[in-house]
Formats: sequence, structure tokens, C-alpha cells
Amino acid sequence: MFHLTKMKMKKNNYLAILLIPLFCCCTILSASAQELSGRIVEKDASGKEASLPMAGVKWLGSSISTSADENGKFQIPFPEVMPAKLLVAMIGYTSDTILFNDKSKTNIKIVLKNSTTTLNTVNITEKTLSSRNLITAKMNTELISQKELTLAACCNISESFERNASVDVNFTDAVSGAKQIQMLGLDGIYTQILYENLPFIRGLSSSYGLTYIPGTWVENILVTKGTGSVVNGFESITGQIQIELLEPEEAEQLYINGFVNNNQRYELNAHLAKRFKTNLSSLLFVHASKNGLENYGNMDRNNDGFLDMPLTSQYNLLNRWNFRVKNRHEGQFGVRALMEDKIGGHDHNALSDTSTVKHYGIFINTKQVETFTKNGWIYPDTPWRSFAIMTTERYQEQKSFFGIKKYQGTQKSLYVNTIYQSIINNTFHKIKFGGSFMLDDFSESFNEGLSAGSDSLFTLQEIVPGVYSEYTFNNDTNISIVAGVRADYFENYGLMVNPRLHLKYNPSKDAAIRLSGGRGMRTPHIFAENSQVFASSRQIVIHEELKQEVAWNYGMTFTYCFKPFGKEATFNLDAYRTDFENQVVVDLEDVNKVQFYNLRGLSYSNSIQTDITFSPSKKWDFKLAYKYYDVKSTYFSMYIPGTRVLLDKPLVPKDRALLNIDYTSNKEKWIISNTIKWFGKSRLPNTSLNTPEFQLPEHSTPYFTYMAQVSKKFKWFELYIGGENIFNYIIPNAIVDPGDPFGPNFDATMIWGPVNGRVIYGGFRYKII
Amino acid sequence: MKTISKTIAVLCFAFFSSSAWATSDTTVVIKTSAECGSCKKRIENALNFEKGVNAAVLDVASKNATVTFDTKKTTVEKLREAISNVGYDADNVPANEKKYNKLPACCKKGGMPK
Repeated sequence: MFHLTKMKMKKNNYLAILLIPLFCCCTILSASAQELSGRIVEKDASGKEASLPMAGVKWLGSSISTSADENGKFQIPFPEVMPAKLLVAMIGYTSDTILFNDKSKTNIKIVLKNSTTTLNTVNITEKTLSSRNLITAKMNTELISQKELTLAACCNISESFERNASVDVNFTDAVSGAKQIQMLGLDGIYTQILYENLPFIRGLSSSYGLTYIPGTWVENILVTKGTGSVVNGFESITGQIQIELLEPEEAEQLYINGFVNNNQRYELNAHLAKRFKTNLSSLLFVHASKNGLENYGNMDRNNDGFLDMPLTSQYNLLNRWNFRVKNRHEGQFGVRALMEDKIGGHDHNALSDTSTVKHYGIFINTKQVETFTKNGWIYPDTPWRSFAIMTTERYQEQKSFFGIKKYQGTQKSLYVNTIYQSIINNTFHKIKFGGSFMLDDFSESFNEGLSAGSDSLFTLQEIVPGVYSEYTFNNDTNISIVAGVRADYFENYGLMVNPRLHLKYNPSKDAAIRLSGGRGMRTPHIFAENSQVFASSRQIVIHEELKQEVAWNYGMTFTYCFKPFGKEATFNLDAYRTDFENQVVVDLEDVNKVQFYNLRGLSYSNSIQTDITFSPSKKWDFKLAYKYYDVKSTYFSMYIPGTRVLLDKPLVPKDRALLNIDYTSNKEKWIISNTIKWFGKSRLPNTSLNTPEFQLPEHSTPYFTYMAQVSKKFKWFELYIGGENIFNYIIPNAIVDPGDPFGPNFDATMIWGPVNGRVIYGGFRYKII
Repeated sequence: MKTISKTIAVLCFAFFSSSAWATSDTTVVIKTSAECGSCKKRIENALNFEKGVNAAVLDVASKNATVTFDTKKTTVEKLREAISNVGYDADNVPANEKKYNKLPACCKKGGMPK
């Protein structure tokens, strides 16, 4: 104590030197001045100060620390060396550092800001909303985080949207086990699905592609509703789904996930990250799964003679490398390979019988190999300028039998995209431009097996060079504009120009209004995109040469964050319309045929969605969503030949609702998630030409599904168990006339709800961080 | 209104903190040698599974771990030791050497480019 006093005397106060010999109490006084005392407060919504208890207080660069009491008060001795910085930190608050030049100030009040009210919350708050609509995003983008993905079985991407209100997931038929997504009531083919900014599901992978990325490989999924950015190409119409894989620098060094369910699905996912030097790292993902064991009896819980899920084995591998050259050049490259066999239908013996009509068998064999590269350069002197080039080369092959129908296809693709980014005058105005090149080489053959005719062959080579430019204005406060246009040259259709525009306005810091509009287009590949119709007795009829599909999409969104009872809540309302200029109509209205023709007349989708999320405490999260679809297209009339009629798109429920209730215990050791979904009725295709016992009603019946999961986290691993379709709702007659799969009534594609009963699953995640 | 919001704030605090009404909770700030996002995960995981810890957050930019814990169940020394045991310095406690050597290159001191 005396020593400290002496120090102070020397340093500052000359007057004190004079006073010390006079009064010994001075010693006491100046000793107490060696201590800093203070009070830590926060400001509530009304701006009133309230004490903040238990914050940590520390002199930076020393080990002197303390914490505040219940009233936010603290005392801390000054460090020996001045000036010094005092750090005040509290979980859930933005920490503050205060510079003290000397020891003259001995009493201080510190105001900490609740970090949930600032935008920069991700690093400091303990709880980040697992799936949230980003109020600052320029587009209506929803983030599905890795945490959200672990709340459901999420074996693969097709299942990762089960708890999401914007993206719908449906089985396409009752025999192949394939799932497809829908956005805005329209098929997944109108949504651009990318991984790491590269095209992912296109062409041959349309029907089964979503099962080709396991959920455990994924860091985030970004779902953008409405027209997407022109930078990624011309194909996004109803939305864009961007899958971001784990990064080698951030991923666990070792991660193993095992999964099993009562439908005899066994799955193993692992990844291994290696950081070689500070500028080179690699991540290896592997996946192996098996559905059903040949020698263990076959799963046919609805007793229709058909396997509920095909016997599937999938092997999947991805290796990615990231490197960095000084602070100028960053790059990635990688390779992905996949092999999948699906055997379904009557039983696995059916595989050996693809030419007769004794057994109905399904066999789908897929192979994919792909390499990708990404390189980016920034200019250290002008950090707002950058240049990037990305390429992907892919080969895929599919061989399939559905009974006596045979389909085979191969697709070779090359994709190159370049992005140059800079600013105009200042960082409020950003500009991106670049060129892209797409090559797709399709070769397909199809044989209906009815007559002894030879295979019908289809080949298509499409080379599409394109250029684009996108301007972004962002005033850093409340307005952003993204205006883009791209021009692509198609050999068959000529030069196509697609403009797109996104506006965002924040009337307050808690609200966002967004408007978007734009045009997209895609080349149809009807066999690959509709392979579920092979699982029916329908004859494929292509009426004319099919043109490119072109559509406009417009949307508006309102997002509002508010605090009822001081708790976080968000309200969202969005409305979208998609208008087709041309569409390849898939007409199922005649039970004997599936007809493909170009749209003549109207085809549109109107969608309204509203949702509200509420977190009454850090432990509870609620989400309630409702969605209305009005999706219509112009079909051939079944009643007056030669005329066309505007009808609801079949098998799409008009109304849906979703409720998520999630509980997270302290430090996320226990997580319980619940999802209840309700589906309204949908129109079923006309079946009046079938014999009466195989006719379907005009509409489906409404139904509920319920899924839940409990996970428990331990220091080195996590365990989870859960159930899907816990109410065990199964649609009646998932297969029309299963007794005669080669007869005229057979149809496994009239699917408007669950085809499998209750599924109970369990798994573990082991990680070395 | 003011009293109401104050009451709510107090209630919230009670509701949020795992040991409601406990007065033996305290918060400390521990300086670590963390470098990156995986260091953050590693340290937070180690702290969260220490007995008595109610919450732990590491800020990578400042390398400070802010830990709220129950003084009846654990001590700052034990928390520093927990951080050291996953390979990082904690205030004046140096990292466990064996564990430090096993860290990936980017997680070692100076491993991330500035």
C-alpha cells in the first residue's frame, strides 16, 4: 500500500508531497484513490438505465480482474503501468474498453449495449436464431444453419427443408423413394439449386439429386425466394437455394455421424479436416448408406406388395482444398464422386426380371463425377476490387428400369463463370460484371417396352455463352438496390435477355420492405425431370417440339422485428407471383397418358406466406407459418376435345400451416424440437377413365404430420433420437391398382402425402474439434 | 412503466441464468491465445463442460473469453486450467504443451494471417 502511494506521489501530484507529512489520513485517502470503482448499467427500451449485475471487469495486459456485484457495482485496483485499458464484458452484451490515461478518475459509470439489438450479434450472443430472415439482406433470404439442420433427421438436403416454411418437400412417387422440393407451389426445377456458387441440380440429377449431399456436410443453406441474382445464371425463376459446405479451416478435425431408423436405413457420414500450413487446408467428406438389407426381409408395411422404400446403397465422396497465396489470391479446388443403386418394386428378385411381366421391378443406377475450381484475386491497394473465376466439369450417368420401361441417359457439363467486382466512386455503388459459359451434352434413350420397337434416342448439345452486369446501391442505412441484367446466346432460341431487380427499404431499424422482379428461363429435359411417371402405366406422349421455359416472377416482402413483453419476435409476410411466358405443361389429366406440350394460355402461381417467430426466453422458440397457393396452368380439356382449360396444378395443397416448438437448455446440452404441419386438400388428376374401383376422388383430404427430436450433447459427442410422421398418417391407395403393375390402371405417382408410416430414428455425432 | 420494465428485466435475468436467484455467480474475462473460429469452438466447448460454468463466450478478435460461473462450484484457476488443457494460454497459465502441439497449424500462435 505504501509502495503504491509513493508511486503515485512521484508520478503526479506535487501537492500531495507537501500534504503527506501533515496528515496521515491523506495516506489512506490516496490509497483508496488507487482503486477504481464503478457501476455497470444497460439502457432498456425506454432509454432508462438499469444496473447490469455480474459483468466481468479486467485491466487489459494484466491479470487484475474482478466482477460486478448484483447491483452492477465493482471495485478494481489500478494496474501499475498507466495508461491502461479497462475491459468490461458480459455475455449477451457488446463488451466495452475504456482508456484511462492516469489514475485521476476513480469513479465511473459504464453503459453496455445488449448485443441482440446490434447487427453484429453472431460472435458475441450465446444464442443465434437458428433460422432467421435476415433483416439486412438485400433479398428475401432465409438462412438455415447447421444447428437447424441437426434438429431433424436430415440425412440429406431433401430432408433439410422439413422444418422450413418456404420450401416444400414431397415424395414424387410411391416406389422410387425420390423426393423433390417445391417453391411457390412450383416444381423444384424452377428453383436454382447451387452449391458453393456452382450449379448443383441440373438435367439428369433433377429427380434424385437432392439426396446427393448429406446434411452433415453442410454449413448453411441460404434460401432466396423469388428471382435470384444474375451472377449465378439465367435459371432461377421461383427462387435460389445456395448450399454452403463446411470449410476446411472451420470444420471439426474429425466428425463421425451414424444414423439408423426402423425402415432399415443405415447411414455413416464422416469428415476429416487437415490444415497443412496456414495457407493450405483440406477437407474430406465421405458417406455410405444402405436402405434395407436383402437377406433381412423386405419392408412392406402397407401390404400392397411393393417395397415401401427401395433398397438403396449410396457411396459418396467429396474432397475440397483451400489455399491462399499471400493476401492477394485465394483458391479452392475439389472433386466429388457418387454411386447409387436403388432397387424397388415387388422385391429385390425383380431385378433379374426386367423383360417379363411376372415381377414389377425398379432399378436406378446413378454415377456422378465432378471437379471444381474457384480462384479469386483481390488487389491489396484497392481492396474493393476483386476478380474471380470458377469452373466445374461434371459427368453423370443414369440407367434405369421401371418394370419393362427402360431409360438411360448421360450428361456431360462444363460451367465457367467469371466475376469482376469494383465500385463506382465510393462503396455505396458497387458493380459486378462478367461472362459465363455453359456446355451440356445430353444423350438419352427411352424404351416403353410395349412393342418390340427399338429405343427412342434423344441427343442434345447446348452451348450457352453469356454476359451479365449487376449494380448494387447501398446507402449503409436504409436503402439498397440490386439491378442486374444478363444476355445469353442459345443456338436454338437466339439471344435472350433477362433483367432482374431487387429493392429493399428499412422504414425503421426493425422493419424491412422488399420488392423484387425478374425473368428466368430454362431448357426442359422432360425424361430426367419427370422420371416418376415411368412408375405408372401412362404412355408418354410428346405433342410437339418443346420450347424453352420462360417465366417472370414478382414479389414483395414485409419483415418486422418487435419485442412483445421485451422478448424477441419477428413477423413476416410475403406475396409472390410467377407468370409463365412458356412452360412445358406436364398433363396427367388423361389416365392413360402423360402428355407434354408447350403452354398455350395462362400458367401462373400466386403465393402468400405469413409467419411469426417468438422467443419467450433463451430456451424457447416458436414459429407459426401459414401459406396459400393458387397455382394454375392451361391443360387439354378432358371433356371437349381440342379445347384447353385452366385448372389447378394437381397434387399441390392450396393451404398449409407449420408450427415449430423448440426447447434448448442452458449451453445447448439438451435440444428438443417439434414440428407439426397441416396440409389442406389438393386437386387430384382426373381418373374418370379408370375402371370404377380405381378411380380417385376429385380432391385429397387434409392431414397433419408431426415430427420431433431430442438431442443430448456430451463433451465429445451428441446423441439424438426422433420420429417422423409420428401420427402415422399414410395416404390411402398410394399405388393405384398395385395388383396389376403391367395393367392399364397402375399408377404410383398420385402422391399427395406421406407414403411411409411412422419412422423412428436415432444417431450419434462424434467430433474432435 | 419503468418499474414494469425493471421487473421484467430482473425476471428475465432470473429466468435466463441457470441458477436462478443464486448470488454466487460471477463473471470473469480470461485472455487466451485463440486464433480462429475453431479455437473459439474448442475453448467454448471445454468451458461449457466444466462444472459450475453457466455460460462461456470467446471473442476471437480480442481473444477474451467471458465466463459466467458459480463460485461455489468452481474457481477461475480451474477455468484457466480447462483452457490450458485444450492447448491455449489462459491469462498467466501457459497452454498444456502436449495439447498445443496437437493443434492444427492455423490454431497455433500466429497461425492466422493478420
